[in-house]
Amino acid sequence: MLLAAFCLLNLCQKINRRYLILVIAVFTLFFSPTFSMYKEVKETKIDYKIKFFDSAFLNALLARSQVFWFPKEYISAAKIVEANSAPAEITYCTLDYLGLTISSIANRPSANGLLPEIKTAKAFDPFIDSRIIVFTRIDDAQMVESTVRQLNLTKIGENKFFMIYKNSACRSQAGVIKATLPFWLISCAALLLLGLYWQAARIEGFVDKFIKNI
Amino acid sequence: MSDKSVKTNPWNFYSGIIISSLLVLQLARWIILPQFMDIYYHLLTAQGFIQAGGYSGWDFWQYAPMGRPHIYPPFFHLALAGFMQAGVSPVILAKLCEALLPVVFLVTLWKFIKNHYGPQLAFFSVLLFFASFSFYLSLLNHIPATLALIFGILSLNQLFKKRLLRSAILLTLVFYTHIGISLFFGLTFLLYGWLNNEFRKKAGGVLLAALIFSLPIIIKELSVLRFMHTFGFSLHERYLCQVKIVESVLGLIGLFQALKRGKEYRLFAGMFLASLIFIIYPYRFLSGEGYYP
Repeated sequence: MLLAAFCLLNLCQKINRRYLILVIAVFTLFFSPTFSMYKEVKETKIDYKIKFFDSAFLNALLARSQVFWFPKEYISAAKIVEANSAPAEITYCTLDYLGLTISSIANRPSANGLLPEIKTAKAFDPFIDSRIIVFTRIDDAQMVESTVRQLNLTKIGENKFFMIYKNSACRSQAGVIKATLPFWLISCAALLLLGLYWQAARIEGFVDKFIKNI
Repeated sequence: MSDKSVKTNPWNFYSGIIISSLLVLQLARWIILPQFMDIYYHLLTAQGFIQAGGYSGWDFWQYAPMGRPHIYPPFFHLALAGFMQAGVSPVILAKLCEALLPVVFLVTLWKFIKNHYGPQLAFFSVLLFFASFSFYLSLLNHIPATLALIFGILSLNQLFKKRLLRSAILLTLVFYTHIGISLFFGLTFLLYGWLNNEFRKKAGGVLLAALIFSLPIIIKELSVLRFMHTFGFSLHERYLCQVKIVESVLGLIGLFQALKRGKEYRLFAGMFLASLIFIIYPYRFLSGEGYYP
């Protein structure tokens, strides 16, 4: 971005025509071609194509993009989870990222995880260790049915996206680990850093003087 | 802006229009925000910190009940935890972050380029920001990375003003906010110092001070490194790369021009070389944060 901007600056300084700026602006904001690749998770074939009219401006203006926020469904599911579990009881959703969405809104620990670079410390069965299990409407109906039967789950709610069950036999809870650095210590460090930033010029002057004296 | 100022400096006026339109578009998208899933990871982490009573090096709030080592630098999560403890709803926090931080990034970048390289280059930078949709989306999705980019630009700004301690403090904040971006800015300071001897000692000093201030988090990250079992080149996102064709060609020409022109322009070349660190995450290198330089 910065190097391309620098190149455009040089170009405009060489040619120095007003209309050129207009052409560049229209091209950048509207035409803006992109070479893109795409592959579905379970597919092996990769699609390559050139997309025209693919600027951030145009896409934001036309609100093109995937949307993951469905407040009605997410918030209602989170409310059910919150009402049927204690703060340390675990929630699991068969779709990883939705598990985190619901858990974060309900303020409950999750058996799901994002940031796939680091996996769980030990293997565990999230169905057995979770008090609340959230199935999605796209889950395999047979899998849902057999899990419900095997674990003797009780349905506690549903909406357009989710079917929410409670595992009454589950005794697992997330073990809250005490903070390595408590908030008061972090606040002190932040204040110290802020003070250093505020008085930076004075400290630099003092250090300069000290070095010169040596 | 008055007629007089438009005539004397039209570039600032044009940049202002672009930045304002980004702000309007972001606010218009308020209802569909938070658009991405990463923010829930950050919210849950902040809730974990609240439960722990501070910074915890063990991620017990995900993959519960087993958990996993927590590697993410804590600045953003601590800020979120602070707001949540003050009573701000997590959903509102998520919406605010996704709506406003890309605008703050663009304003910071524009001011930095305008002050140190002139309003015309600042205008072209702002214009090209609006060219890449994937870069724009990555700013929305990778909020801590966006925040770290902002701190990094502010740190360079202080370096150029020769306020070295402030520069070091801001670079330290980059280290406490995002791993990838801290490597990027660490290398940028190193390479810019190497390419521009006027700034060699200053950039080196700032980097050294920031590294010393950041030692606790660097040690923590290194100690958890053995638990990492995959990097970006084995994640599915590598199949979603998007390359801006014209901008990439212009960028390559710009790289040679930056090396040939005055020493101050070598910052851009240094940034490009530093961005090669993102290659292990091909999507981020080609379509995300790597688009920035």
